[in-house]
Amino acid sequence: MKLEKPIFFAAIIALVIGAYGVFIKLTTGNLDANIGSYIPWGLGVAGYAYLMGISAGSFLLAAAGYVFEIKSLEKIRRLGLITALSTAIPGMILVFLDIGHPFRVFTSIINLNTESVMGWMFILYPLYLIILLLMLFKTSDDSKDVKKLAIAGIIVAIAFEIGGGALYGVVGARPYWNAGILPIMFLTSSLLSGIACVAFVAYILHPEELRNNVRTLRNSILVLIAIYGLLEFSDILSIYYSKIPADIASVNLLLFGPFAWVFWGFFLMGTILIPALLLIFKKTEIWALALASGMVAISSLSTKLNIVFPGLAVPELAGLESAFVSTRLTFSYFPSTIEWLEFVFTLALATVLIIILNRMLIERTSMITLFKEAI
Amino acid sequence: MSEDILNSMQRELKRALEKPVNERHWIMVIDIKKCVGCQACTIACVSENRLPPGVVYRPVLEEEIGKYPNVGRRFTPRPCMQCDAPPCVPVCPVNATHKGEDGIVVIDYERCIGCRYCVVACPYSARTSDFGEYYTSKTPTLQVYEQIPNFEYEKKWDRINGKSPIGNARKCHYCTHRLNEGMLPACVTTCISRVNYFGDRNDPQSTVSKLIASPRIMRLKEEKGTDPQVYYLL
Repeated sequence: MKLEKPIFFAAIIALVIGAYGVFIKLTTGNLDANIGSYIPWGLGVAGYAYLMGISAGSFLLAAAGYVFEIKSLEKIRRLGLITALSTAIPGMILVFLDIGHPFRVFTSIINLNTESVMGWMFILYPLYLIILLLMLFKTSDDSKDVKKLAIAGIIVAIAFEIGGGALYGVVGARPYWNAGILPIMFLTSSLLSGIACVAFVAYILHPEELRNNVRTLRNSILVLIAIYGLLEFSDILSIYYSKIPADIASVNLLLFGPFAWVFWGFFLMGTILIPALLLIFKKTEIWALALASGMVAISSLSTKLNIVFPGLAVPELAGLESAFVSTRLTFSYFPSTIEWLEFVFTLALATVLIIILNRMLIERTSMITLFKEAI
Repeated sequence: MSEDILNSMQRELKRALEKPVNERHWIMVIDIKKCVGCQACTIACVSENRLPPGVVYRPVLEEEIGKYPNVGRRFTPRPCMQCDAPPCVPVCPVNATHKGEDGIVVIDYERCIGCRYCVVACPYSARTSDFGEYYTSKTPTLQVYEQIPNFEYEKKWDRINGKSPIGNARKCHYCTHRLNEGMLPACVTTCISRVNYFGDRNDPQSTVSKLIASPRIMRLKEEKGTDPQVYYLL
């Protein structure tokens, strides 16, 4: 059964429902979001990091295909570029809507602080989008220009993913974040989720291409699962064995807090163990690769949740939460309906964009046909 | 009867204001032993700066210490530390916050994009975000006190229709708008037990300069090296 049409149909419905959340965010800002001043970054920021991670990872896979001229990746590399663009746009929308004065972002051209890691994102993201668009729309697939663009893109994508980790890593106020391992964790998570996402997309849209690349993709995902697992393990252990209660409070929250299921279920089972077991014991089965990739692509959101929230949910000073009582001054957070809707919108938008761009740029078929088929 | 400390600090303040801005350095000293935890300073600050729900510049942290029968309560007012090495400044992607010449860390509300990176980077949780809430938004009429402007950073801020400071990071600024008019910060004048001392660190004759030479002085998270300019007398 071809899954493209039901997925497209479901994504359109999700897009329409989620649009309500986007509308509310655009008109009232963060008024209906459950973030506050003690947990100022919520699902919007974690979701943005997740989507940008998938984007950079799928771009790096595609770019490697162009730079090293890997024959078997010829078709899948284009799919990688499509996935990269289709996840970058919703990722940027998500963080744009999360900002208190989103339209002031454009003033960063004149006010930019290059000392700030976040400031660099205002340079790297537009550059990345330009490179992506040029690679997808302006040049023929085999030209030398594409190779040059791919090399530039690799530098930019690695820079913003490492920067994404550094954005947290440089915050000395948060012992849980303040670690040099974070940029490497971001880059690894990005490669893992990006490659897994491309593999899953290939299964849905071009299963024959997945068959041609089973070995490459399976091995890449498996190695990245192992590396990321090791990095997470090292990060947790190095903090935990410091035995400084204030520092390990975040780790305790991660492992035993009210949202411990994110770590044990969503991350450990969904991103690491079950996909690894599928890839180890069902080596040649394409369905196993697709299932493992799908699981990793979706559950790797946990790699960002594991970092963002435990770092914020620990009071920096004793007595802070009870000092001045307000719903915006608490250390517990669960996304509001509006935040979920907004997140659903971005996921749906990514899905719709992938399917549409695939039709436009790879299959070169009419969009009207797709809509008719979906309905 | 001895003179109220507020009067002498007021005179010192005026003396400091006669100097060029870059020659004065405002600091605060808080005598924890005298604090009774009435939170009048918190409320004075909320009132002075017309702070909306969820925005607080000067909460008073309360801790119960010891075990029965030796139990006590400790109250720690926590304004912005106006650090000399403020971690909230370099993280701002658009240079919307900086250390002023007089030692106060200020926010440019019109430049701030509301990314909340500074909120996250402050080791004292001294910055809060304005999410655009009103105390009386769920009542038939928005009360007048929520609609009148505030005068932070010596500008008039009409907090309506999503305009700044809605959407911005906000923090204690030692009531700059009062200081430059020769008035002490609202929290200082309001305190019933005269817990707060405020003045110019660069004036060796000021009350605060003498107090920070005390061996009873400590600062919050001093080991972080942020050089906070709020001192606590234990």
